[in-house]
Amino acid sequence: MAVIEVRGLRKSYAGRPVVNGIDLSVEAGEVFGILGPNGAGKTTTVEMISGLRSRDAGTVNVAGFDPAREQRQLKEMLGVQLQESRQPAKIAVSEAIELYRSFYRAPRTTGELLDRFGLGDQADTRFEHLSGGQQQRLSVALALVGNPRVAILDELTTGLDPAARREIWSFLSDLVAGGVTLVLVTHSMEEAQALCDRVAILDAGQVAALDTPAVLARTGGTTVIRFASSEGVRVWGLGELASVVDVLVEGNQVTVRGTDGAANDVLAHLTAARIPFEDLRINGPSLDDAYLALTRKEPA
Amino acid sequence: MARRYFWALVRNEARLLSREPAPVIWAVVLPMIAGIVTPLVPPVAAPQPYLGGMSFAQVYQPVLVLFTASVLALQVLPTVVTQYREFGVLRRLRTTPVPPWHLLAAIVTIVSALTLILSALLVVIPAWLGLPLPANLPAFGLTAVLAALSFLAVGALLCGVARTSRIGAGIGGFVAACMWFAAGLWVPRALFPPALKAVSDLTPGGAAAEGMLRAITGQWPTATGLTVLLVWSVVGFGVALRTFRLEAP
Repeated sequence: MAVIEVRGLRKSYAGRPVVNGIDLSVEAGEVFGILGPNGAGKTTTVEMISGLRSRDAGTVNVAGFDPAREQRQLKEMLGVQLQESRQPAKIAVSEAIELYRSFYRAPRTTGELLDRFGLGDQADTRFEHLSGGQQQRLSVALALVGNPRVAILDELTTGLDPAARREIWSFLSDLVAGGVTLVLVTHSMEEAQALCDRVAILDAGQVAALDTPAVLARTGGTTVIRFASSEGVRVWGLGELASVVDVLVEGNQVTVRGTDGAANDVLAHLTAARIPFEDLRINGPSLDDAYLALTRKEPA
Repeated sequence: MARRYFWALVRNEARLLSREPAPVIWAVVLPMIAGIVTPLVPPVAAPQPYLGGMSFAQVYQPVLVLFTASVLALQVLPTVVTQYREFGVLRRLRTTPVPPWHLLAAIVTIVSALTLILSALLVVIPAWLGLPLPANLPAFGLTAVLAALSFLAVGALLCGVARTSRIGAGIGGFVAACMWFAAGLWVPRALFPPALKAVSDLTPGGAAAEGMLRAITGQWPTATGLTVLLVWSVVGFGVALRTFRLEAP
């Protein structure tokens, strides 16, 4: 059952379309990633889904509520973490959590959130004295205070060290096991690949692709095979293989790009032709390649 | 439910305010010290013919009350609110079941309550130390309440028109200083030349101080004085409602 249903969503700023006809549907219990370059309309889209921004056209339904109308009921079951939102400088971590707890009918306990987000030692620390990563963890914790059915997290792990990032990922996995639906807006392919069941790649206000990370990776991606060989001239024969797209020789370094079966074909060819090689590396298709192919811009 | 989170907001704002040293010193400590010291120094507490028979301690009583009210309404309120807008605190609240105006209401509640309590203390403590109470106490109270209201309105207006917290704090400080001058902080109002008095009577600070001084001598504030305070209140809140934005531009 779809918990978030978006149809024909549009939004323009000063006549310039930012969201230009987006259709999405997020299933209950799913982790749904929204990826895309800066200015692709990611944040505007989730702002319209969470009721922060009005839409020009289209329909949005979140667990049976229209965010443009039924604000109160929707907000009781929706947790949102915003980019660039800070807490007052002098508020202590546990005070911020207690304050946000008072906003909801059935909040999580302060102790659980402090534990989960590794903020137990900072319970009495004021916001101004927290590190960037601790501030970010508090911000995610506050989004989940109200025990939401749906959580929208924008730039969740930006500025976190790898250990803290993995801790938050593991907490999110627990949340999902408990039936929470997650929408992650992210720049991190690693995050999308690690967490998301499905990913929508936005470009210029439209959905450029929508599928599981594995399928997306295969559609846009190529396999890259690199090795060193002293007999550079003879490897040109690799270009004749059906699965190979191109071959690049620089000195004794050979780079072969191809489709799915290319690695097998290249190895078989090298062995059969008795071409000596060393330092062989194979990189399978990744979400990065798919992302770049679909958006044709450098990820920020 | 509604009551529970509103008081949580009020308690939280009170706690945060008590952690900021500047408002505590300017709005609480300094006026209190002045209110305690002036009645105890004989020359300051003695009636002076050129002040219309009042003592320095008496003519400064309205100044101290208005000083406290202006720091809270014109400096604390705009600084806190514009900072909350800048930090995205108000925007963040929009994603919770609690509408952001509840936070604004909590801040206004704290500022109003502090203003009233401190104003009362600035009358009661000096009286206990020997300074005569204002001869027309209800008139003094009425003027103090209307003065607080008009200052809050101007403070709210600043929250609406100031785009950043630095601008808000800057204009707020300047406007507060104008109010202090109009109320007679640097030069007692009895010594104002007529033109200056006429202009200052049109400001909330001047109109309020004049009304309080009249109350000290047993009179009621003039209708013009009360009208000035009410007009500033209506205009201030009116502009605030039209210009206030929850999100930074």
